[in-house]
Amino acid sequence: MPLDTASTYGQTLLRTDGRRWNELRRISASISTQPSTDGSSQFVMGNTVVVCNIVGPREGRGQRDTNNALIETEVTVAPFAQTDRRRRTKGDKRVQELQTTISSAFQAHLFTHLYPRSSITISLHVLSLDGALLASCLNAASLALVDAGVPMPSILAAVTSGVITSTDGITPSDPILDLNNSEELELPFLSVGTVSGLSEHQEDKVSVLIMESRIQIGQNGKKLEAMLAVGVDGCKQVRTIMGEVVRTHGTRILRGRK
Amino acid sequence: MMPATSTATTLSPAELSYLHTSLTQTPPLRPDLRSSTEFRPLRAETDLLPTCNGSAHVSLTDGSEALVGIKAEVHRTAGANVTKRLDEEMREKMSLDEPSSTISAAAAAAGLDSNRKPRGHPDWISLNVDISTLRDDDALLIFLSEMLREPLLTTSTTTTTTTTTTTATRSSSLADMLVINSNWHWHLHIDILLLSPFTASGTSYPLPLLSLATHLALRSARLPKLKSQGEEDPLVDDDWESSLFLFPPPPTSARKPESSASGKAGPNEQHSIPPREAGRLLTMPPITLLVMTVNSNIIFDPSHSELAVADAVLAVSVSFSSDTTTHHHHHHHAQTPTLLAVRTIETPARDTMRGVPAAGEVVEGDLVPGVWRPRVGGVKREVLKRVVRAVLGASADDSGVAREVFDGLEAFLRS
Repeated sequence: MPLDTASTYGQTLLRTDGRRWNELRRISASISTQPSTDGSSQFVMGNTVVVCNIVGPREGRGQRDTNNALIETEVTVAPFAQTDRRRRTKGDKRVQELQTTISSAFQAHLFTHLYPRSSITISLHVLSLDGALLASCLNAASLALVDAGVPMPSILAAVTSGVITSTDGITPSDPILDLNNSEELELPFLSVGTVSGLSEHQEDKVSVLIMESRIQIGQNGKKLEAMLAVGVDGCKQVRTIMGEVVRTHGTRILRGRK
Repeated sequence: MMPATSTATTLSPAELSYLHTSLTQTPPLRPDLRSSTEFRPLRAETDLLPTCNGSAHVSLTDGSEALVGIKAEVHRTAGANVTKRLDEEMREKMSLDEPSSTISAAAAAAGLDSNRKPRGHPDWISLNVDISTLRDDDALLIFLSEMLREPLLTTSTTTTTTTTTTTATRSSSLADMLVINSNWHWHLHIDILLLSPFTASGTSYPLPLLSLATHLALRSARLPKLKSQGEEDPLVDDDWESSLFLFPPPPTSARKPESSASGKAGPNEQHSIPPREAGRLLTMPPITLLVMTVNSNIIFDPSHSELAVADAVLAVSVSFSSDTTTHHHHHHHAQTPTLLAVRTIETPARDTMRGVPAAGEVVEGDLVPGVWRPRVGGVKREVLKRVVRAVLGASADDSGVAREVFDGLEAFLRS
């Protein structure tokens, strides 16, 4: 019998993989992984592995913006990324939506006005997929753009959050952070990406928010509000880890220069 | 003729002429000071993807990087009984056509073998190359995937000469190894991903990189051990520790601790991989090497700029096999390379601009030394012969480039 989160969570307050409601999976990341590109990164979140390469900023081809750089995104989900092999073609609607979301998120976030008539190409390869597809892609792209030296006000960090609806009506519904693939199939969830505020006193700003499942807004328990709060808080944790990765890399480079 | 290695080169006629002149020296003077048979250093790791039966990640010093994942699925064999009958017919024909006693004995042995286990079908191996900047139906992708798939499908009949007799031994092809029983087989999905950005005018031809990565992934591929026997519907062992290598590591090599699983199973136990009896060939997955010629010089693993001045570009596919009956004095030559195919690939030097001599235009067809002209014509038989000899090795002392590459890859698998 497959274990499901909804029926066991009420009793143990533990999810099927043993995490508490607000625990992230193990995150490890590295930057400058690809010598032949302008910026590159590898982002691992639990069993999800994403590799990102940046080409640019360079002279734009075809359609160009005279005031800003244009961000293009190519996402490849490897056929072997999940347990069952599934090949997605270049025209796959979900992949195209993912590309548009990532492009528009960074188009608004980066200081693109510094590179008029240029293009920045983000190329993402999803090598292993266990939930948090959009969030991992955004995080990997963020790190690679830092490596490429594209100016940005802060690191864009993303995470998924969901909600466990109690079945018996006694235990309250609990929001949960960073869902894996089996939880994503079972529970309503959203992907949220934030950038930190302009000054230290300002709150983080949500720059990406996508939810594909149905959920009640407002009424009993305020599920959506809870999910969003947990998600924004999770983004902060992820940003700290990503910042640490960048600093560690920078320190290593500086040490090498001496 | 394969499509060009790249669409256009960014080098000027003067640069091309300089490169060509230095590569025609004896020995050739390569831009990165390698010797003619030297490969660019590469880094490789295998068995890195948890959701794959086998995987490999290979990166070269120029930054090109490839990842190969192999997944195996159990499929029902279509028209199982038909293939079996055809196979029996073929066996009868073989024994009628060839009256020679030794060969028909070998054929009968092979026939008996095929009676017990049906032959594989090429469709059971699907290979797919993905380069993110190219369209799915790009000609280069299709040619690359076919060039990588074809050597995997061949069944080479190798004639091994031992001290006294000449025996024909049929080495089983990869498809044959995928047979479970007459109703079921494994289907191999080989997915190749070029991780580094690919631009036709700035990256070296990815064929050798993808081929080496595929080779390593196949070498690391393991199939779960079957619990079912004979004609039963397949039932596999959950324990990944007891899984069996698709290509068991050669017996001469030191075995990794986890690879001892294939040894534990014993050679006579019934499992998916054909048991290796004495006299059978132990085959290894093929490797495709990229070779270019400039005048009479043969250059291995050409970089992008070297390819731009190639007289001819050749893709040489080599398979490896070791005869388990070879005598002890042959043991240091355990892996014998066998030539599978030589293909010519259109050289980018054909599409280059002609250089204009300082003295002004000359009569069409006249040769001015030191002034670049696009290459025309094919490759001489003599050069082709030398290429093959360089790959396979001319004598017992000269092991050939193919063996060197194989040994190099072997080191990655053992480390």
